[in-house]
Amino acid sequence: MKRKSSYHVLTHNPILFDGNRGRIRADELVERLRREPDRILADDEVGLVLYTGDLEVYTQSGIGDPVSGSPPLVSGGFHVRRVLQISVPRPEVPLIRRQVGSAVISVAPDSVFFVLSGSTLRRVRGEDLAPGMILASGEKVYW
Amino acid sequence: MVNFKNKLEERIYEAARGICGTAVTVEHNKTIEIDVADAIEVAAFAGPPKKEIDVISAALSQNLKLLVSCKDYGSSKADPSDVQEWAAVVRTMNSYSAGSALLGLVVCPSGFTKGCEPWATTHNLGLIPPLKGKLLSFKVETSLEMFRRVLSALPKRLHFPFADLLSPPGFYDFVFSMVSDFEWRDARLAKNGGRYSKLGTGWGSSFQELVSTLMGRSILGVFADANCMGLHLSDNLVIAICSGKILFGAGESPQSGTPTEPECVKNLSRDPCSFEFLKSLVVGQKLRSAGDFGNRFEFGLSNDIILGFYPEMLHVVLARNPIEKNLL
Repeated sequence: MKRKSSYHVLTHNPILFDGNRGRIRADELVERLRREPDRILADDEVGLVLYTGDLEVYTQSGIGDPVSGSPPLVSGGFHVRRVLQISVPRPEVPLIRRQVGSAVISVAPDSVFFVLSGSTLRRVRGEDLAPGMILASGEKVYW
Repeated sequence: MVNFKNKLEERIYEAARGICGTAVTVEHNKTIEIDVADAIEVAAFAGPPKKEIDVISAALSQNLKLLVSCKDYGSSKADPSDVQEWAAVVRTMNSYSAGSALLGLVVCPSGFTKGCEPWATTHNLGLIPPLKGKLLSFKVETSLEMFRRVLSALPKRLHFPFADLLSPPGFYDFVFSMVSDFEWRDARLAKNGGRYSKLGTGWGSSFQELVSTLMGRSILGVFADANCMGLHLSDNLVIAICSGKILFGAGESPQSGTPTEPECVKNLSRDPCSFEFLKSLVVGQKLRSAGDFGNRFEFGLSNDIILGFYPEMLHVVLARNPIEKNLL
């Protein structure tokens, strides 16, 4: 597992890892962290937002390096990104499934992705991701 | 006495005061001048750069200030020049701030044109309401709620290392993350028309949240009065159906009057039965399923009973086949 320092804001059903590549159950993490009032940035009608940037919490980032797009050097390896915040909207946000790189992920329709468009980058909503798009990380959208 | 240019500025000012109190002060029409005025590049015939702006000064140990621009354009959207102007103000102030840091926020309830986004991300300005790549309209009140949410969260966020907030697009992303889920809140309210809400807080809710909150709980009692009917559940939970509204959550039931015995019926043929008989069937059972049919709300229970709430009537049916051999 290769760690990157880039941050990532998660909104739903995240696949999380600790610093030793062990899986973290998101619901258990949320329940544990919500007992630490300092971490609660918001807890209201809109939802719950928890700060995790100082913890060893990472999420999978497909097969490519989140910055360069390079594949991992270890067979079967994958790259991860540190998670800065976890948002739990109220109520549940409808989810859609997409394969980005090697990972099949659940994304909210309003998740923001950065997509290569010629020599420039543009933001794309999760619901507008289309097969063949190449993310800024070099990962390809398959479906 | 503070004079306001428009109603929006006044409401933003009041919102900031309401949240931050004395920890963060708000100064209106303050003339901001750069802190370092002896650099050759800022010398001019008109004197050092200065700008009359609304300032929310975060009185934190890190000398961090939030500069807020309020754009009240009616139905028109703010365009890139509005964002560029604020970017120039914040950049200039930061360049000569003598160690303190400034963050910029632009509030325009009527929204922003798409061209504003790259300017905001590049210059690290927060935008309220957010640009989300889709035509969305938010009420003025919603923009104020967003502002309050950001302003409430920011001091908490500053308890942790926040260098990432100060470099693009850290603060833009932070503001976006705090306000983007309003899209779902408003969509839920539009869909449900306020039918579901949480007890205690009054927060709007949904059928999905009701199910995830109540399923598996045991019925401890059934109550009814002139306005509401409902259930007391394990874990101090309550569901009440009051004049077409569904309230649920932890806390006291919203009974307001003298307890009454509602009309109770059983079986599909709706034969009359007593309230006590109905309670003997449902108390102690667990909630297994739920359905909202508009004019009635029903629960499936662990003993195969279906408990239906109609306006001013309760209905129980045993959902086992053959129906004629499983009458209550």
